[in-house]
Order: sequence, then C-alpha cells, then structure tokens
Amino acid sequence: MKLTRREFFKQSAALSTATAAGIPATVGAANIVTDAALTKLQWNKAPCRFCGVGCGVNVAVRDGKVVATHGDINAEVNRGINCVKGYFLSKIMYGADRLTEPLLRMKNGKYDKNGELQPVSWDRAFDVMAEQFKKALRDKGPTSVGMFGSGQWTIWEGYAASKLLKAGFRSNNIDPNARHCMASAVAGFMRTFGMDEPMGCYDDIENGQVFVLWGANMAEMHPILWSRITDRRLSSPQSRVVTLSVYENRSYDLADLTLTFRPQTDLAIMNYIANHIIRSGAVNRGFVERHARFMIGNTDIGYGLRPENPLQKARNVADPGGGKPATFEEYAAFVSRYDLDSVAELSRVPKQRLEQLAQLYADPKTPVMSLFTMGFNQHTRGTWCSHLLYNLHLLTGKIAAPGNGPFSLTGQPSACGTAREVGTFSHRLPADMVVTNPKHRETAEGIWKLPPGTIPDKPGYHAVQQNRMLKDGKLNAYWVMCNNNMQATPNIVEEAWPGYRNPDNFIVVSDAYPTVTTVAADLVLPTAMWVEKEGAYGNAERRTQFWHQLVSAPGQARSDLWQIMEFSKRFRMEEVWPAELLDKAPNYRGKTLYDVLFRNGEVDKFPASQVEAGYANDEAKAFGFYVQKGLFEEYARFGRGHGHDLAPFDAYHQARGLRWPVVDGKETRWRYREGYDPYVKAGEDVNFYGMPDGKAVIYAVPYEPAAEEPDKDFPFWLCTGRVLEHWHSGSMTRRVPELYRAFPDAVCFMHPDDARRLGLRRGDAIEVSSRRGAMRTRVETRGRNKPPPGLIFVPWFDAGQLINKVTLDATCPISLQTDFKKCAVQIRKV
Amino acid sequence: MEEVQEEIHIAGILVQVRPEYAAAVSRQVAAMPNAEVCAQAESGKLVVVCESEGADAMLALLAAIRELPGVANVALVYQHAESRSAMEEEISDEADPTRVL
Repeated sequence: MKLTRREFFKQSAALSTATAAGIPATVGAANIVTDAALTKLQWNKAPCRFCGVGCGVNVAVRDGKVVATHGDINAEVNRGINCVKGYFLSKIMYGADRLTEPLLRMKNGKYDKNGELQPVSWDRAFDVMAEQFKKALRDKGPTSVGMFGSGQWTIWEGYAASKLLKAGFRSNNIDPNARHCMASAVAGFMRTFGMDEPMGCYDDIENGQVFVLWGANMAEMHPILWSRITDRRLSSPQSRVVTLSVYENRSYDLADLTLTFRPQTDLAIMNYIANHIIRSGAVNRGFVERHARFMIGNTDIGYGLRPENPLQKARNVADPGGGKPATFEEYAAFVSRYDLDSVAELSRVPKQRLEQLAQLYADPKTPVMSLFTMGFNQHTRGTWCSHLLYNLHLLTGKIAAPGNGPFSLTGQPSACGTAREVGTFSHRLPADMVVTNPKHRETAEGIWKLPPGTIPDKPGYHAVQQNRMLKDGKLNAYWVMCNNNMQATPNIVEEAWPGYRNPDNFIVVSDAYPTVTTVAADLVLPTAMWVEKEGAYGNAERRTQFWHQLVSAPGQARSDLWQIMEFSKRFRMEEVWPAELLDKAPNYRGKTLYDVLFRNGEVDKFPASQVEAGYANDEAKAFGFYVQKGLFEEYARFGRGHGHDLAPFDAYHQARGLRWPVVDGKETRWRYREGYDPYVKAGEDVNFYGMPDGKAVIYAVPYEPAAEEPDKDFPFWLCTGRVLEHWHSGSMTRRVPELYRAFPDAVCFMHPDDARRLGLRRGDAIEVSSRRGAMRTRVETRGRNKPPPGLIFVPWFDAGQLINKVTLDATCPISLQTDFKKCAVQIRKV
Repeated sequence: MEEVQEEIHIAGILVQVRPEYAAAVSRQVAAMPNAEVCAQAESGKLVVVCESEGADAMLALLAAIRELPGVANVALVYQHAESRSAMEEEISDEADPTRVL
C-alpha cells in the first residue's frame, strides 16, 4: 500500500489516540509509533523528567541524540498520554547554553570570591573545592559543611549524597528542595500513620466516586492524572468533582462544587466537616475504636521564623509537635466550636457549599478520594492540614480502600523515591528512620559498616535554616545539587543572596544550565541529566521506576553520582573523622571516604559486566563496578522485611515500575488493608502497622491565622505557584523555545475590580512589594486564573521576575516547610 | 537548539468533553481548518488529529480547542514533526528509515 508520510503519521496519530482513549475498534495499532522496522529509531522506556506523576515515556535515540518522545502506551500511569511539557521532553537536554565544563570564580588565575566564573578542569575544580571543605571542617567542624539536594536526584544519587554527608563528613546538614515541596506531607503521614506516603494509589481514581481537590490545581500541575479524573467524571454519572482553592483556576471547569476560601481558613473548613460528621451521627464507630486514637496537639506554635521575630514569642514554640492523649468526647468538644455559621463567615464560603461538601464526606455510602499538594504543604500549618484531612477519612473509615483515601500529590519526579524514601532530609535516614533515634542510627551504622557513634544524633539545618546559617557565617562550605534554590527559596533579598555571597562561604552549584543559583555560586559543576545516566525515580503512588543511560552527556558534564563519588576520593579518613572514632575502626586508617563509603564490599559487589548489554553506563566505566546496582541493593536493605520492601534491582529494568512494598514479586496497591497489603494479617481488616499499636492518630488542632495577613499598608494576599507550560524554576522548560513562547514571562493575575481601583489596565507594568523586597511584572486580569478581590497570583518560573524576593520565609514549625502561598503585598504602577 | 525550517507537526489528541456539549464541540473542532475528528466515544471523548506548521501553531490550536465551552481537558497522545517535503513523500513497508523524524 502506498501512502504519503503525512497520511501515515496521521493514521498513526488517530490509532494511537483511540487506543489510549480505550476506543476498542482500534486495538492492535497500539505500538505503531514504536515500530522500529519503520522508523529505525532505538526506542526505550523512561519516566518523564518533570513532575511527580511519573508518566512513562518512550524515548527515541538516533545518532546518539534523543530525537523524540511519546507517552508510553504500556505505562499504567499515563497509558500513552502526555502533557504539553512531555511534547517537548526530547528538547530539554539540547538548550544552546548547556554547561559543559566546570567554572570557578577567579582573579589572576586564582580562586577569588569576587572574581569572574572561568573554565577549569575537573581536577582543579575538586582541588579547590576539597580545600574549602577541609578548611571548614578543620576550623569549625562538621556543622560548617552542608548540602542542598533534590527531589530530582535519582535514588542512588540521593543515597550516595546522604551517605557522604551523614556518614562521611558526619554532618546532618543535608536537606532536599523537597523541603519546600513535601515536608508537611511527610510530617503528617509520619505523625498520623507512623509511615510516610499514601496508602492508596492512582487506581483510586478509576475506583472512586467523589474527588476533592484541596488547594491542588491538577488541571495545570498534574494534567495526566487530571485526564484520568476527567475520564472518570465524564463516564460515571454519579461521580463528583469538588475543588477548593483561594482563586478560581482551570480545575474549576470540571467541578460540580467549588469553594473559594479565604487563605488559611482551610483549617477551619476541615474542622467544620469533622464537627458535621460527629453531629450528624456519621462517625464509623467500629472503625474508629479499632483503628484510631486521639491526641490534642499543641497550639500557638509560632511560624518558623528567626527567633528574634516577635511571632516566635508563641507559647509552644519549643514544642510545636507536642500534644496529649485525648478521648473521642474531648475531640468532639474541641471541634464543636467550628459550626457552620462561624466557619462560613471566616472562610467566606457560602454555607450551602460547606454543607454539601460535609455531606459528601459524611455519607457512608459515598467513596471519597481527597487530593492535595502545595496548597496544603506550603502552609505555616501544613502538618495540621494533613492531620485535619486524615481525621475526616479516619472518622468515617473511608481510607486505605479502593476509591477511598487521602492522596498526597508530588511536584518532583522523585520527591518520594529519593527525598522521602532515601531520607535525604536533615533529620531522616532511609526507610522512615530518623537520626534522633539511637536504634535507627545503629541500623544505619550497621548497614554502612561504620563504628558506633558515626552518625550525629541531632537534626542538621533544614532548607530555610541553611540560608540563615550561611548568612550568619555558621555554614561555610555548601554544595547545591540538582535544583535552583536561589530562585525557589523564599525571601531571597534578606536571607538567601546575602548567605551565598557571604565572604566566609564557598558555594558549589551543580547544574545542567546556568541559573540564578549558578550566578550566585563560586564553583559551577556541569551535570549530566535524565537519560544521560542510568536512573531511578519514585513517583507519588510509591512506584519505583528505572531507566537506562541512552545518550552521553555533552562535553565534560558528569552525573551528580559521579561528582559525589569522585569528590569523596579527595578526603583521607584522618581529615574528616576524629581520632576517637577512627580508634573504633582502625582498619579505616589511611583510607579515603571513597574507600569507606563506596568500596565497602557492598556498593562495589556487582561487576560492571552486569550492566545490560547494549547500554552505556558512564559511572560503571569510571569506577569499575556496577555503581547503581550496588548502591540500590545496599539501600534496599534498610527497608526490606518491614513494609518498605523494594524488588531486586534487575526487576525494575523490566517492569514499568512497581509500587512498594514489593513482597514475593508482587506490588501493593492499597496499604494497611487486608487482602491488598501482605503486611496485614487475615482477620485484621485494617492495620496501621506503622504505629506500634496499629492505630492511626486523630489530632485535634485548631485554625490559627497566617504568619502575615493583608493590612492597610500591604493590602493584598500574594499566592505563588506554577503554570502548565513551565516546570518549577523554568531552567529546563524555558530552554524549549516553544514552551518559552507559549508562556514567556510571569504575570500578576488579579481581579479586574482591583485593577480598576488601582488605575491599572491589563498589561500594565507594576511593582509588587512586601516588607522584604519587590519585583516587577505585568497585570493580567483575564486568562486561566481568576483571583477574588484582595488576592493576587504570581507564578515563580521566571528568572527575570523573581517573586521570591517578595515572599516570607515563615514555615510550618513542625515540618519546617515554607508557606509560599501567603504573605501581604502592595502593588503600584511603574 | 536545532532550528528546523518548514516543520509540519502532526498530533493525536484526546479531547474530554462534558457529554451534553460533545456534539457541539465535535462540530466546532471539525470546522477548524487544521483539526479532524477521527473517532468519538459515547462518554464524550473525541479523538482528534491536528496538523500545523510549527510547534507554536500546534500549541495555539490545542489551546483553542481547550477553550471551547464544555471541554474539560485536552490530552496529548501522539506527536510527530518533520519537514514539509519529507511529509509529501510516499512510503511503503520498505520506507527509507533514515528520513523519518
């Protein structure tokens, strides 16, 4: 049959799309796009590089270059569908300004903090860097070195980095950018269930009936999951979508019920719903008695600001996570003050809408899936938000069952797999263990073959605290990897920039592209990205996904893993560990950190020959063993046998990801539920086995105001966030010309009445300022986001318009995550 | 960034429509010069194939479809781009593979 290539591709497009849509007439044409005989392209699977949904993509390589990507029809997550960022995924590695050689700030050929960034060799780069780290260790000890990592690190990169810092340098000053993103969800899961991450999975969508979006704009931020929810809503007449947000957004288009609430009052709304559940007799008494217990949490806990801030004079600032056991009756009395009238007044949501939502949660026959992400997590009471939502699901028993449960969405591709599961936070170790628990440290020291007492017992500096300590000169040698924190961090003007440019400090930034952060660095290291290395990510539904190295990195760019391991060779044990510790492990004398951490008989157990034939592996080549496999298998020992089980390494190169715990080769879709979770015994029905008594905790916590609310001088709420076309700080998506042009510059979304009152027209240049800093942007009164009067929304992807000069570095005092969604600003025409 | 001149883009998209709007959206999409409705499911899903000159025009077309009343979501399934002259070539099962993409 003869046809033009245009006709052929159009037929392929129609057949692929119909197959992805589940329209049966076209089955059989599913894999036409990957037919190598027709295209002579080499196709391989990989998870997408962007968000936490973890879509599977097919990646086509020709002549050593990624030339195309398609949604993977065999990937359960996205079933062949892609979002607009995925359309251009193949282009993210080929921006014209890719960093290809190390750059050191120099004057007259020598390192100088005030010099210009100039190319140097890797040897020279590591010489200078090692000298600076050694100086800090010598002068001030382990607490003066630190690292800011990433939920975009591969699993083994995060693991190697954590080991280097916590075991090697003996500093817990390692935190991921996931602190800005997921920390409140982690704290909520740990405190309520004793184990991190959702009990359910994406299959809840197809099994669900009511979907409640708590502050999540999934239509733009999680478009593939949104297409699954849309499909469910349109094909199941009894299903309902409810959206809650502080401004109208694209997710409102599909919604049956919408609640636009005054910022911070989500706390009151959830307590009202709990009160409604109790008053209407909808409590699932049997479930609550068997599977839950009650606590009254400490209140008046401050806002995670610097100690001298007046807001830190709060009563329980020293013990924000504390509380006392309570009875059901005490809990019921606590929430009884959240009645419909007062909550409607506080939240400015019409009573009828509040009641409708409460009834959906209360109705025992209606399954409810609650979805949340940054609206909850980036909140000075973010941990409480998680608790208050879990309370609704626990009171009604609508949890850990198909279609029922709270679901924490994630923003980064391995926020779960790396930041959370590996435990790259300043207080965590792998598999939900923490540095403050002597037994956990003992376990880690055992697996890592370290003498007792190696791992420090105090949490290190968390994200915001790292900036403060850089500014105060207490953190002096600092490595930022795989993120753009100078753009992403709050309060840039007062804290971050002075910290990075403090003459006492040496700042290293590893990235693939120049960013605002590399501009603030003293040493810039060029990094291999995505399929330029073998990798592993873990998505929001506990799915661990692997990919092979498919192409080579340009120039001298090297993976973060290579950088961490190679750098560790520069340190002799005598330079990093005190004599008393080395006395306990005399065989480590004279060795390097590389020997102790990575040539320990475990990490180097698998020969390079085990790398699958046909694939490059630059790290195996450089170090002489299968680095990724060794690191993964050592890491997996932390979790196997107690609910965090990962499959053997090789299984993941075959599967389209597996959801942990993986026991006897089987993944787990719903945890804590008999019949689904192998850790729940017959007859138990439900067992929240993360807690010693198997019971989840219902926390009584109140509404408390935001850290900074609008007033006469700063009359607007500022909310920041993302847009569909750009991912996070835009360092990748803004290098794709089509995405750049689709949404070139940030704008300030505002209500037309507010614009009129300020004498502004659409497109006018304005200055948005807070008590901390100012930025310039333009007015947008139409389009996808429609704020109510008194609130503006500004996205943060634009390096030319840094909205984080304006934001406040207040955090949830429990999770230590910043609230990027609320501060007070003024607006003036410029 | 590699600059490609005269690039024709073909995309297969899934348009999710509220059922009561499905017929109207189908007509409106069919009336767009660069879009073709290839299949339609009862639940309101449309399978649409789009063609455009350049990626920007494709994004604009997808945005226009997204803005139609009743459209809940536009999901991308398939995309392919190559030069106009290559698109006009005939292929068979023994097509010259080096010209693809």
